Amino acid sequence: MLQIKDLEARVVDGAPILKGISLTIKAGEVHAIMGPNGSGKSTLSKIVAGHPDYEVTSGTIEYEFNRKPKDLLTMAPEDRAREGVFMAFQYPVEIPGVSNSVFLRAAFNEICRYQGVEEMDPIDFDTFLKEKMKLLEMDPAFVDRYVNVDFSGGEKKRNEILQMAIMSPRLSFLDETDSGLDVDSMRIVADGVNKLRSEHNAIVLITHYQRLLNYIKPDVVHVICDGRIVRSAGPELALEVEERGYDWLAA
Amino acid sequence: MNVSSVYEAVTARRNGAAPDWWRRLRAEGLERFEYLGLPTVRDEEWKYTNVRTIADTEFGLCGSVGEADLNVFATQRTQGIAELVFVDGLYSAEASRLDTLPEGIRVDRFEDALDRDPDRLQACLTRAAVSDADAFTSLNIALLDNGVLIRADADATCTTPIQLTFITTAAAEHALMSPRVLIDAGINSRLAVVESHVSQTDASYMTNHLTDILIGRGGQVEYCLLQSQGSAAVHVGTTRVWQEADSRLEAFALETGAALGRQNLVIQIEGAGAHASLDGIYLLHEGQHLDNHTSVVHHQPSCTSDQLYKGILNGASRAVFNGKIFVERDAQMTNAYQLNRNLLLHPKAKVDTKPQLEIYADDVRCTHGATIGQLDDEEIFYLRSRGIEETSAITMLARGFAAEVLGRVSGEETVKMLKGCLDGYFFEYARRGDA
Repeated sequence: MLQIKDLEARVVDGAPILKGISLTIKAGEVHAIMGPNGSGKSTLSKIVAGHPDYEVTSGTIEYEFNRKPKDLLTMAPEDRAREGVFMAFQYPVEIPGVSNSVFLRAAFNEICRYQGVEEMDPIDFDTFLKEKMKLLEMDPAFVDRYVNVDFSGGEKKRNEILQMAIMSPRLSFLDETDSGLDVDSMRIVADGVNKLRSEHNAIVLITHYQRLLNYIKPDVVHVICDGRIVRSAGPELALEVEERGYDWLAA
Repeated sequence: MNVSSVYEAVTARRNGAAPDWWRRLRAEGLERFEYLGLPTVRDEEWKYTNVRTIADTEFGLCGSVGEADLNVFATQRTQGIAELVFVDGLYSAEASRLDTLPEGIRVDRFEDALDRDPDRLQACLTRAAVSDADAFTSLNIALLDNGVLIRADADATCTTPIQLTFITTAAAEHALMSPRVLIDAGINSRLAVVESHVSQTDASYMTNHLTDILIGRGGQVEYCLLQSQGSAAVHVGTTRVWQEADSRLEAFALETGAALGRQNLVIQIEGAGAHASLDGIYLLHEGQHLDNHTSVVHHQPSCTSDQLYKGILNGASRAVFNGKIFVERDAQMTNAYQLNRNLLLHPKAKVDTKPQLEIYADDVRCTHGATIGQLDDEEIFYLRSRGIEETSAITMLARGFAAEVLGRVSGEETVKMLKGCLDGYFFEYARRGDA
């Protein structure tokens, strides 16, 4: 589904951050990416999503949908989203004056339009939305609140997964979705993600902690240090990192 | 501009049918205007707004009245309880509706008021001394002709808006329209008035309106002004308010039209315990210049005023905001708040904003501020990452920016109209792209 080859990237006109990342993700898989602060984990997900602050200096990202490979790097961020690429933000953005329901319905209908499916009217969408909110144990009052404004850290992260549930992406990068969550919120968020998991989609978990991986079992764990993947292995790698840190891998 | 010839034309149109005080008032207005002349940028009040184009244009009275199509303005008027329509400066009986007013509420054209209640009309028209009037106010007084007097007797209530619609058509090319509105809200009465200035022409013309609002003790007035003039129009407008004790004013202005626009709002709070809120949104495209000057004068103690004006600017356009709060010596326990915020959607858009406080009392709470900013790139990316195309993302964020001001309007019909006007602005924004 996603094939990243020798990806090198930096903040526009800044120092290199990614120094040759290669990664292949297939439908149905869950990958975890771990690594110390500043190693390039978040940069990788932002580049996949098309964040304009970063520029790719070499390498390719190929995204395959219905056996049609596409060069992700030439696509606008909104087109990537419409093609089924999703990123849950590490720091979800607050949008004063725009209600959650207006925002979510706009996002949902953009995808419908793009995929040639009929748009949903406000009443049907409301029912659909409330159903998805139950999945994340969210208070229905959240539909009328401004996007992420005055949300707690946990509520913001749940709202990200709610967006994932609404948009039903094929490839999701969850950027430190577990950071700042208490145990209960972590369980709710993880349950939500597990319910969205299927053989047709793939999920990439970017995390500092092994704890999330107790709830969402990865197929592969990668460790990134200084812009390179230094080790890829099964779930046991996460346990090892938990115990020994990253130094032994960076060397 | 040759004002005396327009003055003579107005006199001729009336054919002498006006009382002496009316003629005297107009003469005083003319004298005052000729004494002051048009303001220049050397005048502090007009520092950022150059009106030389008015001096250079030969504006006259509108010779003939065009055909107005009210349906064109469906989103720029409220479905009011009554509607008075003026086309190219003249009253249109066939377009107006006036039959269903609640008891104690009266809406009269000046012609009718002169017959029925000339004393009241005179009292309202002469509430402020001509010798205090600025140039455009005295110009309006000099050209006094058509107008509306809205009255609420003591305790009378009408919360569905009375709609005043001033339409300009192509027939008004090079014409000067001088609408005059008087709102006289009696003790403990309640009134809602929407004043829409709209256009169906891109011809050059000028509107110079003057609206006076008198709110008696305990009275409440919701007043909404919509300025949606034609793309080549000059619009100057002044609304003056006098508030008695325990009265309440909710003033709202939405300005989106005209090549050159200047809106003045002057509120005199003359009784204790009164409240004034004055909110506004101005929406500009390429080439427009819109100026808002507001002034709230707290004369008496224990009053509050609350002001939020927001501007959205696209293209090479320019907005000016100047908001003054005066707290006089006797106005202890005043609580006054003022904020002006501007959102620039284009690198060539420009705003000059100046909030001003003058406080002569010692026990008051006054805060004011102004901001000028652009949309946050991170917010735009967030929306794009959810499949929302860039222009829609910008529109959604800019609407969010405006939502706070709209949220302060209480009238349902008025909110509907204002939303429709915002839709129109953003539709145009999307059509033009970011140019």
